[in-house]
Amino acid sequence: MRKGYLGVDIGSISTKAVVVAEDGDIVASAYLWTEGNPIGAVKRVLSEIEGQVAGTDVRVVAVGTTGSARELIGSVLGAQVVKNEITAHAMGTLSMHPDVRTIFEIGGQDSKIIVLRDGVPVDYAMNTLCAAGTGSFLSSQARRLGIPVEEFGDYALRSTRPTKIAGRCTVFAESDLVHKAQIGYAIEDIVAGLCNAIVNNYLNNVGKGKEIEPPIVFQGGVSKNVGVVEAFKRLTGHDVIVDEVGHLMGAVGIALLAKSSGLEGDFDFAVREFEFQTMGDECGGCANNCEVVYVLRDGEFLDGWGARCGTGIERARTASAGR
Amino acid sequence: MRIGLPRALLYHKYHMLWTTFLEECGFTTVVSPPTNRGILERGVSLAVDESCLPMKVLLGHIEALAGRCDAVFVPRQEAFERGEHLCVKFMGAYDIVRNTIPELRLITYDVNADHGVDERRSMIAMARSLGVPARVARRAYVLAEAAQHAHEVELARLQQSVADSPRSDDVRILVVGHSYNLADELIGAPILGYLRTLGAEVVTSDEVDKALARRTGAGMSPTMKWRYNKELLGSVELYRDMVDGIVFVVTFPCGPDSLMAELCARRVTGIPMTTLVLDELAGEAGTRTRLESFVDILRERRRRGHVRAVGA
Repeated sequence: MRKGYLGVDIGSISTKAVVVAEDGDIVASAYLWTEGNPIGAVKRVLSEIEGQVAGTDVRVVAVGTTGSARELIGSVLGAQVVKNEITAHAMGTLSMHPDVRTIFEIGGQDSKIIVLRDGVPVDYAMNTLCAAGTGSFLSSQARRLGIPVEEFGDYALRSTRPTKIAGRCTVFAESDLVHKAQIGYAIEDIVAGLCNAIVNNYLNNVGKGKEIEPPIVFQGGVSKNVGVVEAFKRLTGHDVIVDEVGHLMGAVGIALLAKSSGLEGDFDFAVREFEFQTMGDECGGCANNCEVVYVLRDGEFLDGWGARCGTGIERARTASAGR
Repeated sequence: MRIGLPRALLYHKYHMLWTTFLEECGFTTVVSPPTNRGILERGVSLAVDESCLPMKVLLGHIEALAGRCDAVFVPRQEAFERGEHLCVKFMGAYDIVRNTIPELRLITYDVNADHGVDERRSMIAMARSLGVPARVARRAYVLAEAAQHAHEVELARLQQSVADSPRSDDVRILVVGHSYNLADELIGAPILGYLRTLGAEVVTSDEVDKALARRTGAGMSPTMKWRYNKELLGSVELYRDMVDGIVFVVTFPCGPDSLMAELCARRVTGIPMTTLVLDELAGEAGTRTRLESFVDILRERRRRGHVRAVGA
């Protein structure tokens, strides 16, 4: 019997899970859409994982969660480790590319860069208020041009002379795009221009002032776009590695962090059978009026977040007890 | 007469000077409560869209004082030295408030070295216009100035003793931001609190020898115009060798601050930095993710002996 570590990465768009055995084997993995329902997504992802683990000699002894729903799912699963996605991604990527020095990541709503030296993350940056140049921007532009987003990259590769698109701001990029189409640019050149704009925007914002050195690993949904990958190679002057399993790195990383925590507990896939219910409430205890979110397991209060003080959580606990 | 002080903008810097002066002149002072969601929401609805977050906070505090005092105190600061600049919101605060809530009685004083208007004469003139005898007003200013100075020296001394103390095992972080952001209950306090919860030791840019910081900052960039940004810039240079990382706290859409963060990103090498841009919609989740991963990185660097990289 080998020990296994379950890592779950619950992003805004997709939910990923893996089980890493104590010797480093990935014995199970699953990937599906979150669809605005993190608890439902985790239940579905667990049933896939359970099926894959069933035939092996691995038993899950610790759980880690990461991604934007990490706290909620951490409570639901009774996780030993709950960690931010930047640390998790760095750990996961290092496990497969021990010599990596730069990680680019462009996801649905955010983009980040992690700088590593000698196997240690030493610097990072993340987009600030603006989501220009991320996956959701690309998919909305693909829709505008009437191209399936999956084919976006191929269009870009066919271009011989990419047009210039202002990538700094989504609003200007969009009007630029319409203008270029109206004056007769080929759609391939416009798409290639857009890919260049995304990369320029990334390097000038998130990547600014960072020492970008190879090996470079590119992850996140946008890494599936070959047009953006090519633009990265051209503009950085370095090779850019896109991993087949790049989307699982956060889950692998958090599984490894669960392993190195040394904490263990009973984990039962039957957690799927419970009914979890999330509730939102405005505390009303003071002028801050915190939005308190809490989760019930089979009707009983499990955990709560979002309050600036203890009052909101206590109110939530009392409210759920009287239900 | 009860005079209301909004707990916003320069209150966080000059509260000693102001409260001592007004009380020595015989007035009662009333301070608005620490910023909460309700105050911010009122400020947002009173302000024009393009206002910066601290200006929205100010307007919320002004309204919170209405009915609780006889007049509200909103000074106008333009230049402490000839040819020097302050952010336009300090020049405009009085007029913006006056035009936003016209029925409110305001009192003010000007500081504008370009026109020979200094703080001392201006504050005394303000008190005289409210019927305070010249002798009382002059004495009040001397006491207020001394109290303010003692307060600043004490803050700088306390912080310097932290910075000079032997390093504990955990990371030490410099948080760079204006005092009206860092000291604000809703904007900066949760950030400083969260960093401490993570186990980090925190030093801030507003508790520093300000004259020294301004000179140092002017040396880093001769063209940096704004007085308070010179102080922040100087604090980066003064503390960079004593900390593991720097967090810039910037409120949207502050021009001087974004210029400063840019300048540091380009000129100050060898130390990890991160910038948090906050607006009235900012959720805490994104901020926490950034801070937690930043602290993780600093810890990892420290553990592996990357305490000081190249150039530091």
